[in-house]
Amino acid sequence: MVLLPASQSKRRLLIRTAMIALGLGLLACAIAARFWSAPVHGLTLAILVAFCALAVLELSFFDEFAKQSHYVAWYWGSLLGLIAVAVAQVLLTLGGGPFGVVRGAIVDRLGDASPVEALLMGMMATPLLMGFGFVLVRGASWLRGR
Amino acid sequence: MRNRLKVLRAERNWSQADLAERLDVSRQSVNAIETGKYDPSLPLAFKIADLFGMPIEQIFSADNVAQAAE
Repeated sequence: MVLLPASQSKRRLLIRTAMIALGLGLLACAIAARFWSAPVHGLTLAILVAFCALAVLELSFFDEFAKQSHYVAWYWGSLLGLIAVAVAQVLLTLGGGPFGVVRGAIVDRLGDASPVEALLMGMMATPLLMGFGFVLVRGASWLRGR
Repeated sequence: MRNRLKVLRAERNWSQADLAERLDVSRQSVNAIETGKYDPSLPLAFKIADLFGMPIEQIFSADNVAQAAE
């Protein structure tokens, strides 16, 4: 990669900046679609593909310690997220006590949601919590290693 | 695993960032190796040994070997 800086930290900074810019682009697309019904499907897909390509490129630039840290954080963080989803699902399904209250609050808030919207929100819950777990574990290991 | 990376680096007046740059790894990696939180792979250990012009066993030693030497 002739165009990229020789230093690993600079390469990672460059790629991360590009990924943040693409993330902001995704957010802009979501806002444009939600509030102005803008036809941004193609652009959104293109940004997602570019984001995935950059993520793969970034992983290839990681040194062995960073790679291992990411693998560990993804394993434990996403496992935590999956456990949280499973526990929440079981408790909310069983209902009763405080979980019945939470369930009622969800029904109050999303009662008008169409089945498709409810399904999409459900689909988002698992990766969102897995990602949150990753950020928690990665953040903790980063703070410990400073 | 124990290592003498911090001492060898200090002898050359290199910062962790300097050493990281020479090894093409991140400063966090150098810090993790120095503090014993991470054991480098064989290729990286050879690279470190090459950089300092020493055999690997003069830089890295197993815990029990280092304790016996003390």
